[in-house]
Amino acid sequence: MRLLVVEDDIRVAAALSSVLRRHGFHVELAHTAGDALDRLDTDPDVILLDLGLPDHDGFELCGRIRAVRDVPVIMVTARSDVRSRIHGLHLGADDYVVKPYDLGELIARIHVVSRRRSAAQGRGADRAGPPAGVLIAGRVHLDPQRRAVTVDGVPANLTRKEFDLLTVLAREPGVVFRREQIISEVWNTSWQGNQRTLEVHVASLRAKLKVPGVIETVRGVGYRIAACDGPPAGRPALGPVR
Amino acid sequence: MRARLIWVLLTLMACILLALGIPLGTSIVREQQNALFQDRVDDTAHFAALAGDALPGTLSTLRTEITRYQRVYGISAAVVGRDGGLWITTDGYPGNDSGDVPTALRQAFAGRHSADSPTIWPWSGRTLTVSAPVVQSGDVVGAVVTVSSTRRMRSAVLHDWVLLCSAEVVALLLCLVLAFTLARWMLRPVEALDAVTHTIATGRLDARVAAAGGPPEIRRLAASFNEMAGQVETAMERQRAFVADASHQLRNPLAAVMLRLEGLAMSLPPGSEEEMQSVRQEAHHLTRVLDDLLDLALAEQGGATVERFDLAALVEERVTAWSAVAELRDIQVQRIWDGPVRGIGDATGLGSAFDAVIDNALKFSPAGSVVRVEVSEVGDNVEVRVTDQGPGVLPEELARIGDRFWRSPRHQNVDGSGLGLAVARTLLTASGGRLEMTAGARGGLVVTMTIAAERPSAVTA
Repeated sequence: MRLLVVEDDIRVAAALSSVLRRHGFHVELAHTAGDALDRLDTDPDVILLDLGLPDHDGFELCGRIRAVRDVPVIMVTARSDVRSRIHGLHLGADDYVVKPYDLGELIARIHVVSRRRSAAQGRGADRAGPPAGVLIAGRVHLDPQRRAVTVDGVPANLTRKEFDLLTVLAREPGVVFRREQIISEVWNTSWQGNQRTLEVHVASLRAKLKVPGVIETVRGVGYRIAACDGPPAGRPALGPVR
Repeated sequence: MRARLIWVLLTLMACILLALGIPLGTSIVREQQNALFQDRVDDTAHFAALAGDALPGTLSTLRTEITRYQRVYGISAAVVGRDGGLWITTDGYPGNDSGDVPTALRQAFAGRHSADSPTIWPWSGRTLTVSAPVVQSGDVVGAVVTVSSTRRMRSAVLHDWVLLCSAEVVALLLCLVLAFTLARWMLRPVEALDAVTHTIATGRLDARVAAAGGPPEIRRLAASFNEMAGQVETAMERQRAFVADASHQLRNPLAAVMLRLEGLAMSLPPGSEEEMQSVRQEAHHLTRVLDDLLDLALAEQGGATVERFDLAALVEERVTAWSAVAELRDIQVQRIWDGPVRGIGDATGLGSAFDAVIDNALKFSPAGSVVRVEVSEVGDNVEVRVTDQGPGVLPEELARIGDRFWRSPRHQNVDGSGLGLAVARTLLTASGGRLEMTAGARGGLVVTMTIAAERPSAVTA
């Protein structure tokens, strides 16, 4: 997933892009409004927009981005007052996050706005997973409609939770899904005690798929499915996780 | 002050009118009496002259004339001999011994005409007695006495007096109008000053006194007041801007720190999750302090809207919202009020202030204890009183509780920013209310929030 981070504070920008890259996102940085408009050509999936920019007001930039491109915008700003939030949402922002934010929450919001957008555009399915016939790591085939998984054409006998887990990860190959996000979506709970359960399910899923490296562990964060198909056309390859 | 001013002016005016009116009233009496007296003196002298001319012959002509005089004018008269013998009398003559008659006779026998008699007031029923000596060849042989009723004179005096009093009342009314006008002119700028002071006290710092005439001294006072209000506003604005800017400027670095932390967390060896979690919690705590600081700056900005609302309903709603937290900590919240308690203030601000107060109470209450929430009307005010059974504060700490960032050294480890009660106090003060903290009778802390009560005839400022 490609993100365009528009942030004038270079320290925040550096920290944010570094940590987002480590989560498997492809991050473009822009420090000014002009810069941001130029970088719209990179076709980002989600834009993170700071309101305090040196050349233009962030609200104005949001309007201009909206005018040229239909891309989800999350306003990430130090302005916490309700009036600014409402104004930002009116101008077409899909979400509004106040600094300092929790990284997990920011990533969850990024996933939400991109998922909603893809659902609206009809090129993706809803939260149940990718469209029929997704190929993972060249060998694993996942059919969300029939809830069936085959490895090299051989059906794999997955439990319901294992299937849900694989579906979540397959939504964005290459992107790291944080543990709390997976637990929320698969187990419908925010209880951190389920982490152990998650590990057990991941281990059993790996054993059943028998494809080494199909589910990668990103230490301290979560899991992702290797994007070893190579990036889709026009998308730059993702860097290594570590 | 208006009443006092008007009373002073009216009293002064009344004194002046009395000082002028009493001599004038007296002189009216004197004047009327003099005219009557002079008239009677002339008549009496005329009769005396006639008697003197007629004597020692018969007095029959004089008798006819005097009788006719009595019949026409109603004035009784008598001609009295030196020996007291009544030579001629008419109807109504009281006799030689009654009233002023003996004095008048004595004067006449002494050869003198009647001197002016004492003032006859309208309320005294006295008659006017006038005498003249009857002189025959240089000797006083008798006297003519006329005794006239003063009723007509007295009613004429009363009539004049009524006119005089009416004039005085009119003058007094004019003075009243003048006093009112003067008081209004003097007090209008003072009232404007009072209204603006109240507005500023309720948090609208941009209120100013408009130039509204009045005495130059008060105009100068208004100008000085505006100047002072400007200074206060600037100082407050600067302080508020400082807090707002400071918390704004802290958000970016704090965001960077938290992001770097997350990056670092990804490189940590397994098993350091717990350590990492506590670092995250610290960062979140710092964020909360920042948010509270910004809330405080916003609360100080004022702009509170004053409205009438049911305090009990508001508290009920807030207590319900907090009941989950209370249940989780095994604390019972007692609600003590009956029926609506209507007050005037900023409902939103009061709701937020109550949140901070009950949050504080629940935080410090031990499990299994009771937090009492009372809503009641006390005199002209309505108050919400929250009593907890927590550790309370020491007497010397009472003055500091509610100060920004102050936390009792004994409770440094309870979660919180140390700004909650400060925000509550600021929110309440903004709408003219107040927040007080006292030690409970059996330990614990009692927080009382007070706002003005709504009275049916109450006027909102």
